[in-house]
Amino acid sequence: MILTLPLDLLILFAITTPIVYLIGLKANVKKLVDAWAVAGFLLSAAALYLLYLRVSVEKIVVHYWAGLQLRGVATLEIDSLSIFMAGIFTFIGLLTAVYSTRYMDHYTGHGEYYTLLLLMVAGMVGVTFAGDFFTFFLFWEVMCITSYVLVAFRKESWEPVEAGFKYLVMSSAGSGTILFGMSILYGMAGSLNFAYLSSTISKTATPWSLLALAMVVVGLGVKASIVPFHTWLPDAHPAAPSSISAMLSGVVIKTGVYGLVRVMLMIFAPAAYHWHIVLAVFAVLTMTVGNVMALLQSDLKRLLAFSSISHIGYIIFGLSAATLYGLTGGLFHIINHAVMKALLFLCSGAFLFAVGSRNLSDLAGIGRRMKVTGLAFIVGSLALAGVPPLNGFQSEFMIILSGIQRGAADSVWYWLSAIMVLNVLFSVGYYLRIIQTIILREPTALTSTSKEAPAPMLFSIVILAILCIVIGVYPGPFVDLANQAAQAAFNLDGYVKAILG
Amino acid sequence: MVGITGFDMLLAVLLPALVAPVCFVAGRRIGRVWNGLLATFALAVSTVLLLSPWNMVLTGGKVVENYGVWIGLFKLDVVFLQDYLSLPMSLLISGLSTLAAIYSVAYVTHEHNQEMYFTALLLFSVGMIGVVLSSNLILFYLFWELMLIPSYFLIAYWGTGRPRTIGFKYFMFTHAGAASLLFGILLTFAVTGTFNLLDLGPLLTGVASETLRAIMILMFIGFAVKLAIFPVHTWLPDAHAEAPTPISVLLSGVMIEIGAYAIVRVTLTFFPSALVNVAYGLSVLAVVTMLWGGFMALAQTDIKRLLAYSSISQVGYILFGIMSLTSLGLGGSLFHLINHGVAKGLLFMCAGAIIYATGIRDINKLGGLAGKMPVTAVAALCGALSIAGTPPFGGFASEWMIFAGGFGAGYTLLSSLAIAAAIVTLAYYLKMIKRVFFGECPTNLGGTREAPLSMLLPMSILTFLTVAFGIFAFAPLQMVYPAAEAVAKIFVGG
Repeated sequence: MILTLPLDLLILFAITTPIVYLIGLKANVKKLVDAWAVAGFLLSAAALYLLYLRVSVEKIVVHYWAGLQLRGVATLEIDSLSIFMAGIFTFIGLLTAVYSTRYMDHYTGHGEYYTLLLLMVAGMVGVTFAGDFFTFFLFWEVMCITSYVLVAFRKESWEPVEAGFKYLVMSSAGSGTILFGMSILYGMAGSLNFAYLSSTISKTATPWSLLALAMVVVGLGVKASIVPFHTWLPDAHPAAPSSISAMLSGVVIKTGVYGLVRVMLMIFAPAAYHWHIVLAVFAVLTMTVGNVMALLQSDLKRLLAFSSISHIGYIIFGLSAATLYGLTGGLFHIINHAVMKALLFLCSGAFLFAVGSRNLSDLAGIGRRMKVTGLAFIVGSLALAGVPPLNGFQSEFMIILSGIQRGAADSVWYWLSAIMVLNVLFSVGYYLRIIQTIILREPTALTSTSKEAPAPMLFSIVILAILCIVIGVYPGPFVDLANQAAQAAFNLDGYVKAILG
Repeated sequence: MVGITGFDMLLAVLLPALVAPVCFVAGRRIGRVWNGLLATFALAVSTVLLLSPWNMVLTGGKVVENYGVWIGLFKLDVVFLQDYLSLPMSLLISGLSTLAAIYSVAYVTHEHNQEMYFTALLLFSVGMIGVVLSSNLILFYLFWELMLIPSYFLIAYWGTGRPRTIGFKYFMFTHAGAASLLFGILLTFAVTGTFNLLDLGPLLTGVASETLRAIMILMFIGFAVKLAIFPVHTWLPDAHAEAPTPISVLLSGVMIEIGAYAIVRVTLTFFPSALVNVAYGLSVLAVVTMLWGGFMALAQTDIKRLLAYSSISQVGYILFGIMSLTSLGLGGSLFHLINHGVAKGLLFMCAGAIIYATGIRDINKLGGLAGKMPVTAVAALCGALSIAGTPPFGGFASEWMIFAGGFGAGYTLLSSLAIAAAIVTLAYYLKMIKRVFFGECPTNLGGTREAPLSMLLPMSILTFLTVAFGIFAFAPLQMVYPAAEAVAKIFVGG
């Protein structure tokens, strides 16, 4: 029961949300549906905590959600890595929901909005719990479909519809590619269960398994927006409502990374498949393209979207080293980037809420009028720029370290690490630029009358800003969590034994 | 139990850090004066806490305080260290920050957002104090960059001229240096498996010399940018001249010197074999830096820009003393860190007082102020003579040691050039003093009055110190000379 409780609660609340919305309309309690969604996230977070307590004792728990007969295709297998990712998703989801209670005042359709938001998080949590490709794909598509709708949520204007359509086409193509890869794997192993696949495919590389690897990586790479599969992201993320941008950039792309971590370490073991250097080159390419493109943007949210691409590059670089330090750094950066990027998107949402523009030149000096949001914006930007003592630095140094450690064996890694250092340095340029525009410039006519954001929005913003500082100054416990998750990802034997006995 | 509380150093770092948000939140309500006094109080308490292990350092050599695990994965603990090297530095930083905070109270009268100013000032001080106390490289780097963020905002928000452009340049230069430093630090971990400075020494012995050289160069670039050695000095004249004056005091007085501290603490101590080969080359660079800074200062008419170039010239002396690799030269450099910090801080405060009283920064438009601002005039003269190395001021003792160290190391030609540079120093300072304080007073400055007491007080304290460190030079030397001897001993064998 407790195994699926976080997931069940999310789905349950998602299903009941439209009913609550109608009751709220009838009873004339305006914020009922907002409160209901927040309660859903809170309860689900509590259930996830109970599950965490159990996983920290048992290491891996298995649940056959359609009974033992269908154990090949209907498995939930939950380890520290799953809990780690699900925790981040739920937490950011909760803060987004709190933020939305006021942010969505400008929009109609609250019933649909919260249903989709809850379902999207349910999909992401389900992806991390999945123990086989069937369950994985099921929840994957729940997440994808809800996110298409959420991107195009402001359907009155053209931009979100176009961006949503582009996202739909590219992401569906990615999903199709994953499906193709899955079917090849099924043909080779006769099962979709990760544990079976791991025990049969991971030892030796064959042409067919390499093809499957390529297809799965491309499919997941579209979601994670690895260059050159990134082109949907800079359109889709800015077009969505800011709260959804925070979810998309903060956590949804991380499901792609999670999929890569799981599949590449579990099924295509690095010892046999030697994908390090290829992945590392893609990682370096991703971060460089993201940073260079971000430098050229004049739209705040579009700039942040490109910065997400570059950070995905950092995370993938940590994964490509395939060492404990590298993966710990990568997973730690997933927390950090989720916190920082969600913070910045929520801040830009607050600016948008106050001024109605996301063009940088319109926003000049707005931080002087909205002091708390402005300060949080500084914290978030500097954290993204990897400046200590904020959280982005802590994980970035671990990722670079893992690259340098690989350099002892193969000196090309020194150069790749150096490129990453240069990227981090280079990125400071545009973060400073947005800080200077938003905080240091004199307010324009548009921004000089803007007022501070309402309390629920500030609540989420301030919590995230404080987290940036706390994780930066005292990273110990967070690194330990990431380390546990990384160890779980490397624990192939345990994962396989939990199913096969 | 060690010291007053058993965790003095942590408290010395934490107290200003915790007061900073208080200043920000309560700032508007309690007003400028109380805000400034709150900041001053926090920094003064820090100074006392940092002074408390004085005796134990003199008798035992060092005091180490371990506060437990920080990042378990890398076996990183939070460990702070006071020894012969860090005690005088940390005292200089916290002391000068305290004085800068008092000085700011009157200085920021006309500025906007005073609560944010004091918050940034406190965080800036926290960064500087933390750097010299840190005993592992990641903590060191963390504080190293913590210096950068608040100082960037202090320059870009309250600065003069084109503050945003200058702030951007300052940030990018320093951050690029820091990126190089970070690469060096991570490479160190990759070959030794530790970040801890106290364990690092023996672990580096078996490492290939090319790796050691690479690490040394990467780290040195980072330190050199902070220290503003030619040719990576170009950020300094802009940043130091256009920052708010109390911040210039800290930037020129202590922040750049942290680069010198780091060179002694890390490069000299752990990478001696890699350094010996390049020491002469770096000495040449040091002499170029001092001459370049000196001649550029001679050409300036803006009083703060003149002082900024003078700082470049002085870090040349400091680097020259360090690169002599003798205990005399090193001791002189470490002593000169203190003297330069005190005297340059004093001179910037004088410049601030003049700007505050007259609103003019161009020395050609000033004149005859000695009668109108007698305290400032005396203070500026003492500061200038100390930096120019005139007895009986502190600068004389330390510069003499640096030159002696240079001759001792066999750098006869370079040492002669360094002495020649001291003449340039005297020339531009006398020119500045003459133009500002003597001669005819322009008619529009007839009504000039002395700066307020809250600005004169820190200036008087620093003036006293410039003289005291000259006459009672043995007191600071008792602290820094053992540090220099310990480092020089590493080089005698190799």
